[in-house]
Formats: sequence, structure tokens, C-alpha cells
Amino acid sequence: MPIGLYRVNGLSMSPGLAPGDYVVTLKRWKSRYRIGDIVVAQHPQFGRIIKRIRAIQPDGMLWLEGTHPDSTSTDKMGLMRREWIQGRVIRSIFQSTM
Amino acid sequence: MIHALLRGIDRLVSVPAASAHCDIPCKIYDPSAAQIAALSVIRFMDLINELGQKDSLTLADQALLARLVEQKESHAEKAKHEIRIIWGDYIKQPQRDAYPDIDALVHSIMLAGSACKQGIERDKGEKLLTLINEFAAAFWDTKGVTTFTATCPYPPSETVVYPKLD
Repeated sequence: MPIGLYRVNGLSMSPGLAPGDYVVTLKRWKSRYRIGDIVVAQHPQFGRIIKRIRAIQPDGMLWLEGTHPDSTSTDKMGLMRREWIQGRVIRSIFQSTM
Repeated sequence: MIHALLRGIDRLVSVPAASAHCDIPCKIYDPSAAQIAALSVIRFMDLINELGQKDSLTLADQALLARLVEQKESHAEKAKHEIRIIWGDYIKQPQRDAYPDIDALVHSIMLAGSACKQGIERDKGEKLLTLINEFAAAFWDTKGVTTFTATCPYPPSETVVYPKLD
């Protein structure tokens, strides 16, 4: 499915994304990802995660990172295959702050 | 409004969750880790200065000295790190309003921590602990927790600010 809708859990993408926010993702055929893109990925150990792309290797493998210091570290998440990326966040819907 | 709509849909069909996974549970902030690191720095300084009393150092003494210096520096760094976490993740505008000098205090802790890495003078360690105690008192106050001071029941037997948790 090219378009995905996900609810954000956890705090590792704060302050950009907070728990309870929703994101819309898009995955195109041969999607080109760029450093800094927020993506949803299926991680073999951590399950479905939302993180930011920190680096892209020449072979297309990716390194992810959280935006919060307590995030699971890039090293711990390890190298990510492109196929594990489920889409790039194209729209965030924030929980209105009351 | 779009969010409310999505939340309604979420309740009906359950939107899949994407986890912004953290290593540690958030909202666990406690300056005691920094206080213990500062106490350790003083302790390492004491042990280093004890070695300094000797006329000459054996190979084993030198190996110990190397360890003590390395540990002194890493604990000074740990104290800085723990304070930075609380400052960066917990201290927000309300805490700033209550303690307008908190940024300056944190900065002076950073400088005092670095001084502890550079030197072996005990007063540098004492200064680091004093500043971190000041930070701890402010931190607990922002959480509505009163504090008291007591001498820690182990070397280096220095004064520490503790939360009073009844």
C-alpha cells in the first residue's frame, strides 16, 4: 500500500512528533530517500518504528536516528534495509495542545 | 480538527502504531546520579592525593594512579552528562521562571566538571558537588519535594542534598 497512516507512540521523536500524533506516509516505487526524512520502518527487533534517516550508504542501506536523546541509538538499531522502510512521512497531524 | 477526526477513525478501526522507541522510560529524572558522580570525583581525588604522599611509586602504584585518574575524569564527565540530561529534557519554561539562574548554574556545573577533569585539587571537586547540590535543591523544589542536607554515610563523607520523601 503506497499510503500509510500511523499513530505515534513513544517520545523519541519529540519535540517534532509527540505520542498521539498521526502521520501519513507515502511509499513510491523506487522511492528516493534523503537524509533527514522521517520514515516508518519495520525493524526486525523493535517492530514498527518511526525515526529520522541519519545516513544513507552507497549500497542503499540506511542508518536511522531518533530526535530525542533518550531514543534507541543508531548503533543499536543497526543498518536498515531499504525494503524495511514502509514509507516517508509526508504529513503530520498533531494533537492540538490544550 | 483533523486530529479529532483521525482519533475517531482510530477508535473504530485502530490505526497501526509506529513506535518512537526510547531506550529508557522517560520522565525519570533524578539528580542523585550526578551527585554520586561528583562524590566519586572527590573520592578519586583523595585517593590520588594519598598516592602522592608516597616517596616513590611502584609499578603497581603507577597502574593504580592511571586507573584513578581515568575514573576521576569519566565520573566528572558523567556528572556533567547527568545534569545536561535533566537540563535539556526536564527544565522547561515553568522551571526557568521559578529559577531564572538555572541556565547559569548549569553552565557553571559544566565548567566545574571540566576543571575536575583537568586537576586533582580537592576544592575543585568540592565546588562541583556544591553546585550540583544547588541544582538538586532547585530540581526537587520544582517537583514540590522538600530537601534536607546530610553527610553521605560513606567516603568522601561530604554534604549532600537529599529529597525528603517521608
